[in-house]
Amino acid sequence: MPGYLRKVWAVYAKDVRAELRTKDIFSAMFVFSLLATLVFAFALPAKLLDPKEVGGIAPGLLWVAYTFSGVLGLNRSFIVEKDKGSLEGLLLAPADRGAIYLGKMLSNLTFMLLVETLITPIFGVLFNYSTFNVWLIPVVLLGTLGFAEIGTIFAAMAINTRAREVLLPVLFFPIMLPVIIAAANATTAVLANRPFDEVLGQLEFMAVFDVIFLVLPILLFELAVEE
Amino acid sequence: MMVRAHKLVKSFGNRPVLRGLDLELRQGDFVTLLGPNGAGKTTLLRILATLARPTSGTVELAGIPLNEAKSSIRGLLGVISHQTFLYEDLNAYENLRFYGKLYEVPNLTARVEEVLNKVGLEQRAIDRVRTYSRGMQQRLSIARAILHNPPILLLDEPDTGLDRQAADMLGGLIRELAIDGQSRTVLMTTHNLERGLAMSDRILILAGGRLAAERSSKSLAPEQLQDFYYDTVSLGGAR
Amino acid sequence: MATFAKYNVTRPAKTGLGFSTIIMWSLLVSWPVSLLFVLLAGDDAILKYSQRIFYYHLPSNIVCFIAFFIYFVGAIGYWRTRKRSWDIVMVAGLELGIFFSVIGVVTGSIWARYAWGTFWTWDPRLTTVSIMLVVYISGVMLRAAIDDPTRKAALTAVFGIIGFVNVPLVFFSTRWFPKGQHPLIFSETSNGSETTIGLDSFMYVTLAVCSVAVGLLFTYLLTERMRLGQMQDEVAARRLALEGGEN
Repeated sequence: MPGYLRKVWAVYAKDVRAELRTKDIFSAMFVFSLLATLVFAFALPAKLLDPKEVGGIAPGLLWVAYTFSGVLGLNRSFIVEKDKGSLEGLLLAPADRGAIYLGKMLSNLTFMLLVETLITPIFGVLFNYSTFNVWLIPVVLLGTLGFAEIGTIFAAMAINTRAREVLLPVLFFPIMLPVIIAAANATTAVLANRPFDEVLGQLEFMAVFDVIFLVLPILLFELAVEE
Repeated sequence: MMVRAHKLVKSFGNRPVLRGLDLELRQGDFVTLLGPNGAGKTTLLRILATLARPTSGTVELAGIPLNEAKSSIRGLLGVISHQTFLYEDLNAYENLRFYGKLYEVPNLTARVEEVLNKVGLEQRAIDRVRTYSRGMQQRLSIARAILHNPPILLLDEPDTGLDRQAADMLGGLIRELAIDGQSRTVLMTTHNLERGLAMSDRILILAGGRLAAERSSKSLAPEQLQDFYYDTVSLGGAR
Repeated sequence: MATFAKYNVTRPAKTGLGFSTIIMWSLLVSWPVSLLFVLLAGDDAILKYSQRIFYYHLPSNIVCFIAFFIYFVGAIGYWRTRKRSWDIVMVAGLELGIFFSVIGVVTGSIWARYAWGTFWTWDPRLTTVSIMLVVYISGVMLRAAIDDPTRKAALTAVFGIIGFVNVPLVFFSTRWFPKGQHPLIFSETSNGSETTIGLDSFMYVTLAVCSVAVGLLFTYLLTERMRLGQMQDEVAARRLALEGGEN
């Protein structure tokens, strides 16, 4: 077990170290989220002025931004591996496939959370809609974890097909719909200062999703990358 | 018997690439595999490297069948391909330390230094791999492959993309490391007939998805090799 | 024809041939019969005539779910054995699931239009089937993007397992959708606050007859699709053997 976790950490640390050098993934995701937010704001100016309306649509748009930038980041993290064949280098090593999956999943999660932490306040400012609420943290955490879990295995699969990175959103969006629904709903409730037990249901749901789709990809990753 | 393949068949859907190949390598053998493009050299190496599953047939590495204990078998292999498997934004130390952790190499720091010295990259160790020439990248790739001291080396056209001088240097390095205090078993594919002959104990020619010919390297003079190769390949291809 | 005799081509002798003939004839008989029942059944008190499409709508949804379950079973089978035969099962389940979910969504939509005036409601069942449809269409796109048959089967299997496990989660999450003005909720037992549709005994019989008809259609298509897959493999293998022999 400790060997397994050491390898997970090795993969994770490698991804983070490489990203710190170039900041490719992070900057692409951040700029994209920013632009998406701007587009939303300019496309729906009337909504923004009415405080009653904003609360209805802003959380949904926030999760749309997270979803699309998440896909961008997931793709880039595997394109890096594909180009120099380093994904095969990873597969050659006597490391359990599940450990490789976990390492990459955690690094993808880290990058996504980082971007979301920066984008959310900016979103709040542009939409004139307060996003400062402690209870938002578990919602974003659980939702993004789901993104990372499914996204990592699907990105590994997509990158080896003819369509490559274009296929990832096609596979990813339908499966993630339950999480997006629950998360957007929970976000709306949290930011409207609804009582916590209204949000509890969604949080429990996302937790169940996260647990199931943590275990399943670990078991399936071998099948997903073999030839 | 370090490497054994028996009646190895690999088809991609309905397109057969390997049609029942038998192969045996004893410990310490240095074997060059020759053959035209599409003959299945890379496919064979990928199967031996556990990257691809055979359609049928058996493979044993150091006596262990491929289907069992895949994880531990991988520790016996060092693989070099024309792709470097290196992370360009990290430097040589970081690349080697990463792979060292995956292969659970003991005394990692010392071993990394040792291996960098062997391939002559200790001066450039802290530079990002992106700044390396192709020859240097291949040398680092070799360093990565021997880091965990594997008894079996698989090399898939390591001289691709190198000029003659760099390729010769690489060849010398490979031969040196193959011996290196312990006789490693080496299977190498290449398009360069003379170099392949010079480096190896035996040459194998793959054609039509099967082993078309096998000769000890001493028995063939370099001048004879070209004709022999083309004869074998045209016969094998027509089968 | 003489040249073919040389290669000893024979029709694959399968007991399946007899079985599928029975199914086919049952099928051809059952559909007109079911239509008769549907026309004879009484009007629903609230929804009037439009309710009749429900007799095909409900079995289609159920059958679509069964098809996707078959895909799931095939995926598990492939995962465990890596055998091509499971790939055929997966593809059959996938294709039929899509076919019947389209029917389910379209009939549901038509029903909604005539009963409640809108083509779409956020009813949990309709939404779930629609999302499933989208998921499995993505599965088809996944397959289309891969050339190597082994990898195609492997990735189809991974997607099938993840997709199917996701279905209950999808269903659960639909309850966070806003309730439409006309909840299309159906239950055989009365259920307090939700609109219920009670069926009289003749309607139950009609439903049963239509279920049989839809079920037979599904069984027929499934067995034929799997047989098609096997025959395609056989053709390819024989072609290969011919090429090998002549060289």
